[in-house]
Amino acid sequence: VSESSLSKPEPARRKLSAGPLSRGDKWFFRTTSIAANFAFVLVFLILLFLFIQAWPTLQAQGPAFVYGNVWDAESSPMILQLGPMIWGSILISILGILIATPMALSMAYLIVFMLPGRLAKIATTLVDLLAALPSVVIGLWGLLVFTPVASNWAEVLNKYLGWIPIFTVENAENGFRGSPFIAGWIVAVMIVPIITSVTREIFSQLDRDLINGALALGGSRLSTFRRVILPTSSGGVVGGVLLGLGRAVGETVAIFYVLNLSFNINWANVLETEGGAVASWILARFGEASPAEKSGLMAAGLVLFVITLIINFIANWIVSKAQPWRKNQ
Amino acid sequence: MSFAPRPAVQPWAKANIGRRVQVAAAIIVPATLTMLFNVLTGLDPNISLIVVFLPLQIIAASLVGFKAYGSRGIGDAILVVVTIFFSVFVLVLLLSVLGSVIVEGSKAISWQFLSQNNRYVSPTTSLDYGGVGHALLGTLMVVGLTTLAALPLGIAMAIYLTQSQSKTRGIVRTFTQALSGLPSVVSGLFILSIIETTQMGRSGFTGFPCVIPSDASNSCSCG
Repeated sequence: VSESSLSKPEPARRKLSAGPLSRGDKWFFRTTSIAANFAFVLVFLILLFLFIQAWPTLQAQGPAFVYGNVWDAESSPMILQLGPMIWGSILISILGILIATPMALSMAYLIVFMLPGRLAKIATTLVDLLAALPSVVIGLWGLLVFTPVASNWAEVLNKYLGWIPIFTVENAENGFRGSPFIAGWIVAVMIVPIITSVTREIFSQLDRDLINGALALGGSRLSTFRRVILPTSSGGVVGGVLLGLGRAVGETVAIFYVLNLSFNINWANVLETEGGAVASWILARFGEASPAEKSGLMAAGLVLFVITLIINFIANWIVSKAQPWRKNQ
Repeated sequence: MSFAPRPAVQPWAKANIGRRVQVAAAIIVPATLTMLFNVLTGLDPNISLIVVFLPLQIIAASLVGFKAYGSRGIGDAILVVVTIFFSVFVLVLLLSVLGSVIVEGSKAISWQFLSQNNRYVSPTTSLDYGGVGHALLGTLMVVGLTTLAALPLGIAMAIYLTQSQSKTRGIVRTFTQALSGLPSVVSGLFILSIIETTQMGRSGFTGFPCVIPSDASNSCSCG
């Protein structure tokens, strides 16, 4: 008996499909896919409605809306140009990224490769706690606690490194408060947890055999980090940094508290007490804006949304390229 | 006879008294020297932390690393020192935020602060009158409505992302994560633009779209 069953030819392989079978399954699948497609609908709706409201301004101001540097709602016709705010957002985000990336990388390295299990868990919890703090709280802390400290740092930087162009200051009457430097630090505090958690995840999913192999071949901590860990995880790290950048560009309340918004364009004098941020500008102007100016602020929101959308798309693309295991999830 | 694994022998883990003393010295000496330097010269602690302490710490750690592992110990020592320095910096910032909020905030917390509203309160009124009761209630209402609206949607989205085999999962995930980076100001403007375009009224109900993405991605990471 067993002889004959063994000699039977192997049946052709069935094609396995995981489609919904029963009626209940089908309805459940439809419900979830409608919910999932709501993500596209929402992005589309945001673009559509903001565009409807922003159209009068965009039509009246033309491309100068993005690069001009006058915002005068009293004159007629109104001149609404957002250049310094857009550049300010970019400058602050770059500063934030420059400050946050080394801190986040160190934190992730410490958690994954240096701390023993229990301490690593505590550190992870603490960093995640930082991510959960509302930006209003960070803003208040930045205004009341951090600004005095950071303006002290700024003064020291200006005193000893003032000969470097970016650290020059023309008027130091405000005591170095309200500068992009401080806003950059605040943004850094807010995005460190995001970059840390992405980087930590990438580090912890690295192949341990690869690292042990490098160590067994005589590598040191540093050479393993530079030659093995960084190259294999660089894509994910870059993606995490870009995700942080997306958050930094859209940061509103915290920057509003600590930054002195100004339409004198501040190219790179990070210690000067004037800067800009699109989101904070919307917040600052909205309360007293006339309907026509509101349309201009909607246009600002549209520009901000498009910028964050692009950054986030690039970031997600890089992160998913860097995590091939995600495809089989 | 049991087949329990033998306890791993870790010859490298054996205490080496000499090296422990060296490591302890590398931790204590730079800090002490910096403090002495500060007291003697009256330099700003902010500067001396970067200009005096960090280089001293790196030199001390490099010396110990060099004694223990030769020239490649130097790189290791620098990596460890820099990592710990930045991480401690992050933790100090975090504890500063938490500490200042808790210490300063706890002075004002009382039952009347949590329960009363501030209808008859001006900026000069003392903390014994009025409170944030109305704001707490409003927050609870908005959060409750938001949860009601966003939770089913977010969970359904997460189930779709993690349990189905559809081809659009990748792009849905991308859009969801892009939405979770939506600046709060933009979501506010979005809802306002709907109100202006369609002439609806304002209410707490319209606050929900900004929470869906984070909800969905949270459920995603659970699922």
